This record gives sequence, C-alpha cells and structure tokens, in this order.
Amino acid sequence: MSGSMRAWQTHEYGEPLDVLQLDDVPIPEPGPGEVRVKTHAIPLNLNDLERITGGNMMVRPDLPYSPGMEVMGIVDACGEGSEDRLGERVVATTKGAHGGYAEYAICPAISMFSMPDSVPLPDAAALYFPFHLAWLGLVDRADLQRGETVLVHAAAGGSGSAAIQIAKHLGARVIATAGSAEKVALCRELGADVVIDYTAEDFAAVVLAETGDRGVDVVFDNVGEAVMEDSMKCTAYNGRYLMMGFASNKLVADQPFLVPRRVALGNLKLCGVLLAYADPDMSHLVKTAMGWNFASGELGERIMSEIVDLYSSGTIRAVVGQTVGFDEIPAAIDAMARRATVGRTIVMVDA
Amino acid sequence: MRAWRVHEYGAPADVLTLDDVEIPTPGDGELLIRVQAITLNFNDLDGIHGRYKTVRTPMPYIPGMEVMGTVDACGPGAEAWAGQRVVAIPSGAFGGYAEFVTAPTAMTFAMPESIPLPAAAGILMPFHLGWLALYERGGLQDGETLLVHAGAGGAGSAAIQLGVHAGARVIATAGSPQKLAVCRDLGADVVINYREVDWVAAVLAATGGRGVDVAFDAIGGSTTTETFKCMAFNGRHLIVGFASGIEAEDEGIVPRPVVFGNFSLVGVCHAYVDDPIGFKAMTGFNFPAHADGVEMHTELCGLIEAGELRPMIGQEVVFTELPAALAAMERRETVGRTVVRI
Repeated sequence: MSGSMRAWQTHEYGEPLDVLQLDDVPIPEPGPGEVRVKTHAIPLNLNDLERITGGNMMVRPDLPYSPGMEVMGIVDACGEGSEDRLGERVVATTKGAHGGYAEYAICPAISMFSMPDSVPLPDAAALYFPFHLAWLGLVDRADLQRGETVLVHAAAGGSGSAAIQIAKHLGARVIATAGSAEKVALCRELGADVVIDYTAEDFAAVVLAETGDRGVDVVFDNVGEAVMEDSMKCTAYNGRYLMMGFASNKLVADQPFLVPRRVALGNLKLCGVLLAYADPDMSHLVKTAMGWNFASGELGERIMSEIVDLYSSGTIRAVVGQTVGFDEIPAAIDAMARRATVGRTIVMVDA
Repeated sequence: MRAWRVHEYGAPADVLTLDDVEIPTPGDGELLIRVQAITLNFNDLDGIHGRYKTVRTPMPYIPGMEVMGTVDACGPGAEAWAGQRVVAIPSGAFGGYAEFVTAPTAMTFAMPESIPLPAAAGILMPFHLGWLALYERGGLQDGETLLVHAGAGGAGSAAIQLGVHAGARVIATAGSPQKLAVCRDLGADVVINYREVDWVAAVLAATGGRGVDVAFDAIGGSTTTETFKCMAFNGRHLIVGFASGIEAEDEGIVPRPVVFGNFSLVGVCHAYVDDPIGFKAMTGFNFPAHADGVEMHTELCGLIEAGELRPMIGQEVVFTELPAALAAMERRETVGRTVVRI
C-alpha cells in the first residue's frame, strides 16, 4: 500500500507542546514477523514522554519519529510469517516502542493480542498495558494470595487502577495512595479498602497503623525513588516489593541505587517486573547478549484472555479518564506529564 | 578466661592475640555459655580486618559469631535455659573466640545430645540460612534448578543438600577439583570450576539457555551482578552473604538488569528476635521470630539425626590453632566448615 498518513512526530527533544508536529509521512510497510495496524485508538503512556523529551531511553531512534508505544486497531497488512493475523481487531505494542501516534503503526506480531468485538471502544484500547503489567507483577512475580495486603502507589493512574482491581479480584486487601481528592475517590470506587492522599498524610505511618505495624505483603510501585525507602519500611517479613517503574526519577534505573543491606535486613523480595513479550529466538538473543528475560507470547495470550474474561463478567473495568481527538495528542500527553489526568487517556482516531 | 582478641585491624595471624580476660556477665534475656566449640565464619574476617563500616566493635574485641556449648549462667528472664546444650549467635555477633560468651536467648537454640560434636557445631549458620533462603524466601520447588555458589563452603554445602532434599536440580560452582568432588558427593548434578571456565556461559549451557530458577549467592560483588545473567524468568536470586568482602553489602546495585530480568532479588538475614513487630517499629527491618526459628531448628535437627542432611565439617582444630585456621579459610583452602574445639 502506498500513500501517506498523518503522524505526530518528535523533531527535536523538548516539551510535547513545543516539539510535536503533525506531519504527512509515508505509510510504513511491515517486515517479517510484523504487522501493520490501522489505528482506531491510541492509549497514551507516561513512557511515551521519554521519546518526546529525550529522557531515559535504551535506544534513541533517529529524529524525526513518532512516539507512541501502544495502539488499538485492525491489522491491515502482514509481513512474512504473520499472514494469518490479517483483519484481526487487536491491541499491540509498537515496534521499538514508538511509531504509535499515527494512523498506521508497525507492530511485532508477538506483542499483539486479539481484542474481541464485544469489548467496545474506548475500553478496548485501555485493557492491554496496565492490566498485563499488573497481572505480571501481582500474579506471576508476587504470587499474591487471598487475604494478603497490597500497597498500590499512584493507584489512580493506568497501572495503579488496574492493580487495585486485579488485587481485589484475587481476594487481597488493598491500600492505595493517590495525590488528590478526585483520585482518592476513584481508588475507593475501584474497591480499595484504604486510600491515602499522600499529599496530606505520611503514607508509611498510615500503612503501618492499618496493618498492625506488620506492614504489607506486596508493594506495587511504579514511582520508584520518591517512595521506595518509606515503602520498604512498611513491607512485611517475606514481603514482595514489585519494582515496576521509576516515574519519580527515571535515571535511577541505571544508577547503583539498590543497597543489598536494605533488602537483606528487610527479609524481602525485590521483584523486577518488565512487560515485554518476545518470541523464543528473540528471547534467546536477549538472554545471551544482555542476560535479560522477556515474557513469552503464550504468557501474554493467557493474561489477555484472563483480562478479557474479567472485563466481560464485569469484575474489572477499563479506567478511561479522558478521550481526545487525534489533533489533541500534544495537549493530552502534556496533561499526563503534569499529573493532571485520572485513569487512562485514549486518543480516538477518526476513520 | 582465655580469649582471642583483636587489638588492631589486620590479617588474623598478625592481629589476634590470646589474652586473659574477665568472664562476661549475662544481662536481661541473655545467657552465659561455656563454649565447647567455635565455628568460624567469613564474617569474622570482615570484623578482624575492620571492613564493617556501620557496626564498629569496641577495641580490643573478641571476634566469633557462632558457638556451641552449655548454658552456665542465666540473666534475668532466661532462667529456663540453665544447663542446656545449645548453639548460639553471641550478643552483637561477636565474642565467640573465648571460653565463655554471652548470647541473647532469641539467638540461641537447643542442641539435642543425639547430635554429637563436631556436627552439632556446624548446623546453626549454614542450615538455618539455607532453609530460610531456599524454602521460605525462595520457595524452591521440586524439579526447579538451583545454582549454588561456593558449593564446597559451609553455607554452600548446606544449600546443595537442602536443594537436593527439595527435589531441585543443583548446579554448584567451586574453585578446585577437590571442592568440585565435594559438591558432587553432596548431590550436585552439575559442577563448575569458576577458576577455569566462564561459569555464566556454563550455567546457561546447563539450562538450555534458560537460566536457573533460584540462585544461592553468599559471595556478593561482581559474582552477584554476573549471576543476574544466569537467572530465569520469574527466578529468585538469594542474597545470603558477602564472602567476597562485606563492603559489597553497601555497594549499590543498578536496578535495570533486575527489572529487565523479570526476576527477584531476595534479601535473607537470619538474626532472630523475640518480637518482630516491635523490632520493625524500632528499626524498619524485618527479622524472623525466634519461635519460628525453633520450629525450623527442630525440623532440621530431625533431618540431621535421620542422616538426610549432614553438616560438613572439613577441619577440626584446637583453640590455640584458631588464627592459623582462619588464615587458611581466608586463602580459600578450607572445605566445609572449620570447628575449633575447646
């Protein structure tokens, strides 16, 4: 397919409102193992910001390029080996975790999952990343048990709001932190048993009081540095501390930040959690070259099917705080950067 | 009483002197133990060299963090322990290189007469640590793969046995053919001489490139960060000690390989307290409850009596030979544990 499409692109690194430009660019072609998704909706992620501001990135694509790590839409072209996915309604991670702020996006087939027609938009676009991440953390890594207590930070955000719901589904008691009255209300509505406005209260003191000074069994943390020491103080013996991200200071991910003594004296598990799917060849390559472990496509399929089932039965719901038009992407990601959003922001792309 | 004391930091053979000192008095909740056997630990060396940055012992001081003996006198509240045969971590985790030492009851465990010396002196540190690490924190499962570093050492030899006992496939590293033979004898399925081969590559090769489910790492430093590459998806890397030097305990680790590795970095510290919740309120740390330790200890002693597990005592020396025995341990010449008989 030749022709051009609209895409928001980063031309130089800076603030979203300053540097994102709406361009007309050629429609990309999928390579082997890839597909092209005609985007119907684009869920925004805080990580997209790094590809706009030039912050902490493992790989820096050549400028200009389109940010956007997650899309929802219909597969309209297939590279070699993924022909059977043509026409599928999907949610997907974009190739290289960028290229999604566009009318068409290239996505590896391995990190793309079927989204049944029974899930309407905008919800269909909101069920992938945060729910997979929360599931991978709470179920696979933490093995959360019925009756245990979980502390969820940034609980009104995308992955936090997913974590509250999955933890409640698993029968856990949830203590949530959030930074405004509106966010606190959302956490309560999602089922959190205790909600702490961290701008008004010392969250660690409240958590200890709420757990009889024992601490929580699992901490769900994508904030990092700003909450880590205080959170470890309120993690119980044998507790699992999920390191999901470092939103408060992305740089610590590559700094000697974790002190073994602290982990040992806490008698706790510091669990790394990364949401990235790879096929066996890529997994082997990544393991051999870097020592890292990516999740298998089978695990992703299993998680997606659990999530869709829970959604369909009304056990969980998509937390869409804002829907915006394609033209409003820079303003919408800017609002996310200012922590002014609640739940997920979904960009609806006109047909 | 006689005691080996450190007057200035340095190598054990240079700085340990045999002194005549006062017998200590047990305080509240403490016991005075008449020492029959002292078991040497790598952490003793950290103290003697002055490598502990945070907890400085008063000079001159008596090292020694693990003893076996009988209770000679009891402090207030500890009277029930009178006359018992015990193993203990002394107060402050030092003071054990002596004929008498005080220990908190929270760090003391009864040792049945049915387990003779020297085995009785070889149990506390390695088997408690291994049990807490592999079973409680690590959740090691039947059929999983376990990597044990320094498999012929005190902690490592216990970990291999506990791994085999759990039904795990065990890969052990060690630094000499003699030590590799020891690991095999204990039940390790794969043994790797880390001095001769690229052990990371060897571990990956032995697991079909997948890595191990659980790693028992009592070494620290670069061994720890290299081990990250050997961890499987959902793996548990147990940080149980720092035989490479205690400095590693305070050297920060970069989070990315842990996050991207999708595995857990697991802290294991087995200093028992009577009141874990009160201790947490005071320090922010989680220590296991002595009562839980007693339960585990009873189970461990049962397995040892049944011959399922055996403390590996590689060297037995007498009290006057203590500095030389410690120097041999520092040169990595010892196998299993070194027990000093009084």
